[in-house]
Order: sequence, then structure tokens, then C-alpha cells
Amino acid sequence: MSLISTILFFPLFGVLILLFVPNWKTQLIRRIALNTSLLTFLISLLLWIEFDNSTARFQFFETFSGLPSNGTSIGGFSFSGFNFLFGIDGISLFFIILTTFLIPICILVSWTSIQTYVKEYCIAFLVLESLLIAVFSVLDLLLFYVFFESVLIPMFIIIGVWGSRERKIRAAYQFFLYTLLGSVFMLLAILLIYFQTGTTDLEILYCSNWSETRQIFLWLAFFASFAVKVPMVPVHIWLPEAHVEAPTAGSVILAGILLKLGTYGFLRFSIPLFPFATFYFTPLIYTLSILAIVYTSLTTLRQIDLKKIIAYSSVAHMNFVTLGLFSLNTQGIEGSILLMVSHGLVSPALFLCIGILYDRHKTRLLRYYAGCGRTMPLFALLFVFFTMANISLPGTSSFIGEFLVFVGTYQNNSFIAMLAATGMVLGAAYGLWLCNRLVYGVIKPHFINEWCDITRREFWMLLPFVISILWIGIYPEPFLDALHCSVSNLISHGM
Amino acid sequence: MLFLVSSADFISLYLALEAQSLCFYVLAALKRNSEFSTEAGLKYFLLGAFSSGLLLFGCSLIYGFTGVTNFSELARIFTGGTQEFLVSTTALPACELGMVFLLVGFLFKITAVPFHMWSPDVYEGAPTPVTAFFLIVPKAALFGVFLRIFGESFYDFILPWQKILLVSSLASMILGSIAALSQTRIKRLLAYSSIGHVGYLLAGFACGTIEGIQALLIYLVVYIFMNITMFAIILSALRREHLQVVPRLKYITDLAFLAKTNPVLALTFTVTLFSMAGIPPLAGFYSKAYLFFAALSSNLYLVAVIGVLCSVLSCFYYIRLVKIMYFEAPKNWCSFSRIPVENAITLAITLFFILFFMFYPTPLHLITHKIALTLCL
Repeated sequence: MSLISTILFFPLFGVLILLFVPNWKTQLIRRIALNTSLLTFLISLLLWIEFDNSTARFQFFETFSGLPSNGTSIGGFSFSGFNFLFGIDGISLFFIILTTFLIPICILVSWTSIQTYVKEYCIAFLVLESLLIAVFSVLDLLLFYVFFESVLIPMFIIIGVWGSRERKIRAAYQFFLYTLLGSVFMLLAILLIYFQTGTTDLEILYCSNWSETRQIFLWLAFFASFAVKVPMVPVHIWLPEAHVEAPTAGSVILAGILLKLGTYGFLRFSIPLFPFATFYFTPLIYTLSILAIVYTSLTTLRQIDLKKIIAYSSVAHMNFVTLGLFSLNTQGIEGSILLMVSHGLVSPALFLCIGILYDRHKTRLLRYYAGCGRTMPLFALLFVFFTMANISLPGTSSFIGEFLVFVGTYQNNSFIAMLAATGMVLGAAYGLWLCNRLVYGVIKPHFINEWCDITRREFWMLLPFVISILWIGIYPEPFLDALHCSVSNLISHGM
Repeated sequence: MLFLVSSADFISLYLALEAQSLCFYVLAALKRNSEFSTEAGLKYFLLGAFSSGLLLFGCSLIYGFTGVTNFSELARIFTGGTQEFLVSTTALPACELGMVFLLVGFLFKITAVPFHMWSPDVYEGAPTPVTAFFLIVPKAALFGVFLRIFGESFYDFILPWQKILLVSSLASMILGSIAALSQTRIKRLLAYSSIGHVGYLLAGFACGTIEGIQALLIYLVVYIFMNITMFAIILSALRREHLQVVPRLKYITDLAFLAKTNPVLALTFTVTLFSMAGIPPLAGFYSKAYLFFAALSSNLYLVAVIGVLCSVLSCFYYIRLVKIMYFEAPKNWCSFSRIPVENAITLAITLFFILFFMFYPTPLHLITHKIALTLCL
């Protein structure tokens, strides 16, 4: 067993144990799930330690052709003997670590708030963890699609079963159908690629070429799938809906990891596989990103639901990421990866904060809250810190990411960079205004007259976020070092 | 049925088909006390007889112009003719007409659009085990024999029959997925969803290549497994209401709270539904993927695109069943009794197939590939 397969199967091992624990021992179930995911996190840290920074090749290779396929590639379909090919490079390393980092927190956050179907809840999250790690490490196009879609099932269940309100069914539906509609086109594209090249092995595909018109069609098909996940502007409707209805842990995973699937897809498939089409469509991406940044930032200003505010600001930040990716230079791409990681820390932290408020007062409407600074000082401190990170104050992780993205974009197209910078100003506007309304102001005792600052569990849940945000913000070198080779290989490959 | 599949002559084909249909009419009207059932039987009889007539007319046209009823001899005639059977070129359009009649008869029997009208009524009216039988067995048999006829005898007429099959397949996919959206009765919903599945099968047929036929066969096998699971669940969900046992599910709202009363069964049902909708790790996805692959490789891009869109649409109503099962409260409280052992074993086998097909699809691939090769050669 190599390291990568250990990480892949460890959560499933936890699921296996959980299956034999009786339903009513909820505390034991939670403990087992938490320990499993924590151990997975530790093993994934080992992955980073053993990671070789000086090469752009895929590392920790693992294949499971396991079952005898007795060479059935006679005519017809040769994907009978599936090649389960796993491996990671600098790009996927941090997404895996981010996944394993967030899952224990998801289990921790629902320690007291989830009381129904606890076992199923833990199983859903552990399965989800396994699937997500598989998505980020699989090196086969068709299997990527398979895992990419499989993520939908546990997520659908999480939103549908443990969601908070009446509209949760509708939200789960929207989430499912939007994503599926986008990704079936990717399936067609993958089949077309397979039909043309006879393989879905990513490393072989990196070496193959397509005609220009075909590249354009394939790129569009992939774009349809990834744009829904990012989300780009015309298809972003599902996101605020899903966030608002999902339980806190669901929002954390949604904002932290699932949105990154889209941009990871762009980075892993669209850009290196179809370099011509990438150049061809760069203006489209720029336009959509700028539209999304400005439009969603303005939308954020007039939201009254706390979760919707964070959800819309997520859309804006993810579109900064696409902007950086398609600047197609080292700074831009590294910046956008860093921004993805940082967004994967900041917005889950904010969702956790809102979850804390929701657990106490059972509402997410902003008008009921005011003056938290006086009643919940520790909470207010953390909330202000995360908001500052969200508007990318220097010293926090987002700043490094956004700065690099701007450097990259500016080299490519200064006008776009200027337009994107207005998004930062608007970001500061809604961030500060949110803080102003929530943390300061006069307490409204006729709405809420019982307060409780964050508990020890909640504090230890949020502290890792503070530490890692500051770490990336002040000393991002270890991250950039691991990224550097893979990214420069990606760029030199495409150009 | 077995006669039907192994027939190599139009006469034996017709006789086997008629004998089979006769049994089906009786089966459909099995429940003599029920108005629905007798109505189903009568409808099935009228339309079945009509379509058999069309089929027979096609056979006689071909016989009239070629003097041959054997499939392989017919194939030899069309591929250039031998010394003793030389057909004049004027006879070819007539043979083509005969082929079209055959095709219409075939589409009637497998409930493809635009000859699908009878199927929801008949499937709904017939007793549930009979419906399960109708959905699965005759389709497999008919596909088997018609693959032989069109792959072997009429391969030279591929252009006309491919067009007809394509139109029918697209129409079936679209109608199957749209019409099922507004159904409230489970069997009717399944009837429409099976029309959709027939559309996918026909798309594989219409490719007319080895890949297409192989994809069709794989799809057929997976389809059979999924439908068996579906009906095993519907038949086993015995419901207690006011102290009396209500033997079957009728409306889709009856499924509500199945998740609470019988979680294992609900989970099985969910997996089957996701598989039918074609969500990746399950067998249904792979069968659909092979089909789209076959369609793409024979340049039927439109079919592939419409096919995936329809599969998204059909997801909607499959997931609605999941939603009802897990999230909705029933109108009146009821408890499910234990499912019979035979059903449990059936469910276990089929569910195992659906879940773990992805890990070892090789045997099925090999078999279907060999069948497809022999059909095309």
C-alpha cells in the first residue's frame, strides 16, 4: 500500500467500522468518525512531507488494475479492464490536504447540532472524503468523471436530509440538476476523446494533439461542466440556494472543496489538454469572471441572510481564481491556486461562525443580530479576523493569492485587472458593512436576550483556521515551493 | 419465446410471435374481476393483432417479391444474388417497403414512439408480476430476433432503417423522459421510463456497428437487472393499513416514509433509481456511457447530445421518487411488513450486480462482443 491508497481507503475503513456500531451509541459513532478523519489528515500531512518539490512528474503512483482483464481490447471497448491510476503533483497536493483538513471539522461542528441519523451523517462525510480525495488524485479522465459525479450523491443526501428549512428539497434538486446538466456534456467530450485516442490515461493525453475546431468543441463541453461548479455567472443560481439550505458542515464542504472541483478541472484538464482553445476562449472567461465579480459583489451588498452574504462573496472570490488561471503565467496560476486554498480556509471559517450563531439563536437573518462585540467578545474577535481575511487584508492568506492573481492578470490585460480591482473595493464594502451590522451597534434585547460566547469545542474548531490563514499570509514559501515545478511545467507544456 | 429468438425463417418468426402474444393477452387480462385488467387485455389484443397484421403484411411482401422466407437466403439475395435467386432491381423498393412494415410491427411490440400509445394503459392495468414480465422478457426476445433480421438479412437497407430507428429512438427518449414527469402512479411512471430506455436501446441499434450492438446488449442486460430490482421492491412492499394487508404500491406517494419503516429496502430502491438515472458508479451509468460512445463513434452526435439531455431530464423524476421516499410524510400512517425471502434473495443478487458491475465488467463485455461479432459477420 502506498501512501496515496492509504489515504484513499482509510475513511472507507472507518465507514466499515461504523457499520458495525449500533445506531444509538451516537457518542461512540462521532468519536470513531472524528478519529478516522483526524488520522487521515495526519497521513495526508505525511504526503506533504514526503513530497518531492523538485519535479513536476506525478508522484506516489498507484495503480489498481487488480482484477484480471485478460486483454480484452479486441475491437469494441477496451475499457473493460479499468485502470485505476492514482498519483498527485503539486497542484493536487494542497486540495487533498484541504479536504482531509476540513472533514474532521465538519464532524466536529455537528457534534451537538446534528441529533438525527448520526451514523448516516458520519458515513456520508467519510464516503465524501474518500471520493473527494479520489477526484483530486485520479489520473484517468473517465474515472475523474465517475468520481466527480459520485460526489453528487452524498452531497444531495447531506443537503436533503440534514438541511435546515422547507426549501431544502428544492435546493438539493437545483444543486443536483445544475451540476448534472453541465457534466453530461463533459461525459460526451470524454467519450469523444476516448474514441479518438483510444485511451483515457491523462499522462498519455497530455502528449496528444487535437485539431483546432475539435479543441474548441471539447473545451466548451468541459467548460459547461466546470463553469457550473465554479460557479461562473449565468449558472451560479444553485450556489446561494444550496448554501442557505445546507447544514453548516454541508456549507463548509461546499464552499471549501466542491467549488474547487471546477477550477481544479480547468487547471488539470482544460488548460493543458486544449491550449489553443484556452487561448481562444480567454476573453470569454475574462468577461464572465469580471461580470461575476462585480455583479455578485453588488448583490452581496443587499443580502439580509448571513449565509447568502458569504455564498455570494464566494462566487466573487472563485471568479478571481478563474481570472488568475486564465492569465496563463506563473504568478497568475500560482496565485489562483493559493487563493483557492485560502478561500477554502476563509469561507468555511465564516460559515462556521454563522453556524455558531445559528445554533444559538436559530436564525440567520441579519436584522435580529447586533452588538455581538459586547455580548460575545471572543466570537466577535474571530469573526472580524475572518472577515478581514475575506476582504484580503495584507498579512492574511487571501492577500497573497489575490495579489499574485492581480500581478498575473495585469501582465496579460491591464484593463481587466483594473476592473477586477473594483471587485476588491466592493468586497471591502460588503465585508466591513457586514461586520458593522453584526459586531457593533446597539444590542437588540427585544429580539435576542440570551447570549453565550463560543464554547471550547468551537474555539478549537476555529483556531486551526486562524493559524493556517496567518501562516499562508505571512510565510507562503512552503506552499509556493511545492507548486512551482508543476505550474511551470503546465505553462511550458501549454505554450 | 425461445422459439421466437431462435427462429430463422419468417414463418416460424410469425408463428412464434403470435403464440407468444396470445399468451400475453391472456396474462394481461388475468385478473378477471378488475376492470383495468380486462381493459388492458382487450387493448393489448386489439393493438397487438393490428401490429401482427402489419408484420405479416411485411413478410408476405418480401415473400412475394423474392420467393424466400429464410433469413440467410434473403441475405444472400440482397448481397448480390446467386444464380438461382436473382432478383430484378424493380423488386428492391418493394422489399424495402416490406422491411418498413416489419420494422413498424417491431416498434409496435417494443413500445417505441410513435407506436407506444397502448403501453402505459396495458402495463398499468395488468397485474404487477405480469407487468414486470412484459417490461423485461418480450423486449429482450424481440431485440434478439430483430437484431438478427436487420443485422443479417437487411443490412443492405441500412440507410432507410437507420433513419427510421433514429427518429423513433429520439422521439422515445424525449417522450419517455417528459411524459414520466407528471405521472402519479408507479406502474405508469415505469411504463414511460421504459419507453425512454427503449429509446436508448434503439439508439444503439441504429448505430448498426459492432460497438452499437454490443452497447445495446450491455444496456439490455443492465436494464433487465434494474427492472427486476424495481419490481421485486414494488411487489415486496407489503403495506399494512387499518389492520389489513394492502399488497402493492400503487401511487408514488405510497412510497413516503419507506425510508423510516424499511430503511434497507429504501436504500436498495434509491441505488436502483440512481442507477436507472445513470449516475456514475452504478451499472446504469456504464451501460449509458457505452451507448453514447457507440453513438459518437458512428458520428451520431445529435443522438448523443439529446440522449444525455434526456437522461438529465429523466433524473428529475427518478430523484423525485427518492425525495418522496426520504423527505415526505405519508398521508396516513402505515407499517410495512417483512419482505418475503425469495424477493430478498432476488434483490440481493440484482443489487450486487448494479453496485459492483464497475469492478469486473469483463465477462459481460466478452460475451456481448462475441455476440455482436457473430451478428455482424
